[in-house]
Amino acid sequence: MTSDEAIVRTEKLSRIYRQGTVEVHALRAVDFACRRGEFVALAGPSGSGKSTLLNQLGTLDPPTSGRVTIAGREVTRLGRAAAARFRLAHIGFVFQAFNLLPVLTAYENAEYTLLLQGVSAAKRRAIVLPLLERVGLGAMQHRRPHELSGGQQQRVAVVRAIAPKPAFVLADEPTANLDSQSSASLLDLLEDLNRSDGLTLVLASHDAQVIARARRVVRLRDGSIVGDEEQSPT
Amino acid sequence: MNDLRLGWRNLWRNPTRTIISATAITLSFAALLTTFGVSDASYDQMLDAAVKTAGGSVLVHARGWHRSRAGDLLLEEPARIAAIAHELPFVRHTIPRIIVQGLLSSPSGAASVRLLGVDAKAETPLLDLAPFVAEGSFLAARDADPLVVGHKLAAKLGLELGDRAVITCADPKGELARALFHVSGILRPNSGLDEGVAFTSLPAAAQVVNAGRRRTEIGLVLTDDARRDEVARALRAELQHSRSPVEVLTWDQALPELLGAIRADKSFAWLFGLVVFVIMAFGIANTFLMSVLERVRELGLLSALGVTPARTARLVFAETAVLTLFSVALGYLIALSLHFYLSRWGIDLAGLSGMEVEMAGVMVQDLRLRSVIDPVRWVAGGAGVVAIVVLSACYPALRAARLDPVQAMRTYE
Ligand SMILES: Nc1ncnc2c1ncn2[C@@H]1O[C@H](COP(=O)(O)OP(=O)(O)OP(=O)(O)O)[C@@H](O)[C@H]1O
Ligand SMILES: [Mg+2]
Repeated sequence: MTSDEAIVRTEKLSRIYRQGTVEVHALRAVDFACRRGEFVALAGPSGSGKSTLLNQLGTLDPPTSGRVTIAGREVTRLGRAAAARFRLAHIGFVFQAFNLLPVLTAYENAEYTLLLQGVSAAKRRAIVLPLLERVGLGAMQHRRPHELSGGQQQRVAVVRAIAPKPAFVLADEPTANLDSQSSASLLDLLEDLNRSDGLTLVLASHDAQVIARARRVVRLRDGSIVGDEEQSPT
Repeated sequence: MNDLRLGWRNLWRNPTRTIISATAITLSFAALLTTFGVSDASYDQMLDAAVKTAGGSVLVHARGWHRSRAGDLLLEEPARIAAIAHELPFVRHTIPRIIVQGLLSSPSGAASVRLLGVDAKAETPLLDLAPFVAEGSFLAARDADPLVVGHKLAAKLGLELGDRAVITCADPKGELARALFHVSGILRPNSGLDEGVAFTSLPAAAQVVNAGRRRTEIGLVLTDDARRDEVARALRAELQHSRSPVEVLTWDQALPELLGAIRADKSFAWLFGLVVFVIMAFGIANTFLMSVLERVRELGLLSALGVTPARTARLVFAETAVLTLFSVALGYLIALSLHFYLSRWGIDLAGLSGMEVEMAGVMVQDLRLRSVIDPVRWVAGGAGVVAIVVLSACYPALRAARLDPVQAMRTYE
């Protein structure tokens, strides 16, 4: 696989939500591709379909029509269990809030995806501890989520997402619940992971501060892509 | 293993609910086991009482006596029958009796009684009534016409120690015979004696019906009552060619309604078990459904991270498993302690109620609540609880497994 080949691609992807007789076209024949190492921001007003597209890229939701290909494999028709296994093996997630399991410590949350993959305790420790140190949480590894700030919780979620070295990480409004300072430092972290580690990152946001950090901005409106431009990050 | 640890922690997120559920399971399980123990013990007690009531595990009469109760149907060769019975395995004692059905009258009234002519010494291995004597003795003195009655009969007929009483019955020729007795003993309320029974000595009873050396009944006391059928069969074979025909019955053939009643009492414990199980099942299903429903978002997150539906279900089962194993173990512990208490000391029901206690139509002398462990029932009970809990967790687990990650994570947004 060459570096300009798409790690994730959608073709004529549509998602229609039916509520009684009303149909909501959340995505209309979207063609989107993301290459390895990219940092893409999905922008657009509320209801434009950003989350819907992220869920499709993350095999969380089956499309109404069209296809999604990840790492050369079509994932559109995977069953629920197969999709779950696929996500575990290939995709990292950071959500807006309630990312962590409240009964687990920061460390246990961070290693959870590795644990699900069946990685041994020693290996998990060798992978997760340096990452926690790197995001500045080495001293807080034994804290439960309620003992961490929102920004610290999101960092733990980032460690959990990147620990298994996924093909790409999807983040849906990861900073929406944070104050501007925590928000900025989380973005610093994501930017650094993208630049120094080559992490492929697709995030959705309508926050200008966030969008400004991305190297490519894809704009959505009413379920269609209306803009796609590279930008040099500030 | 990690699922169990996670389950353990999840249980302690809501300690109140977990403690209430665990207590409910523990206590109902302990109650179930104790019911088993007590009912098994009272089953043994009732069987024992039934043998005493019947007069032995196996009974020999002249043929037709059991149906007619005719006073003139007597065993012609009681000594020979006793000797033959003694040769059989499991036979510990033989007890000869004369049984006269008649009317006992005193100046203040009359009552129909079954007068048992017995040899007090011979009766002792089966039923020793001496400790239950309130006044006088149980046929100990060498009176010519002794009569021992229970306190109820004494009260009914206004009898006191030394009073006279007359028994009227049909003699072997079908004519009315009368005999005079003097009350020589009155038994205490807790003797377990039926109101319609009175005792006299063997010679005195023999005189009433002109029995001579003949006897109405020979009761067999066995080393093991469970062998009664085979002993009866063997004795029947031995006595097949007797000069005068005999009938050999086990106590449950002589008193068939007794065994049915005792068995019904035993099935009651199972019914109780069933009720406990059903209540437990709904309680657990409800608890775990609640705990799944309040964690929809979290379970959705797990699914998004790559936990398969099967593993999500397993997480829910792990929680129930932890809760159940803990509760069942504690339930066993409590039930065992109760069992040891009951089997060592028992609870004196007679003392509690101050009354005679009748179980399944059998007067019980040993009025202590006791306990015996039937390992099969105890193991089956535990397995039953585990099965019920697993079954009740199925629906909550299914709900958890079916959660759609996107929908689940939108909840409470
Ligand atoms: N489960 C659903 N059922 C019905 N309609 C839905 C569902 N999920 C999304 N929609 C609709 O699809 C459209 C796109 O929603 P989506 O959540 O993708 O928007 P978004 O760009 O992420 O918005 P926001 O910035 O507010 O998060 C909206 O009109 C929304 O109402
Ligand atoms: Mg959204």
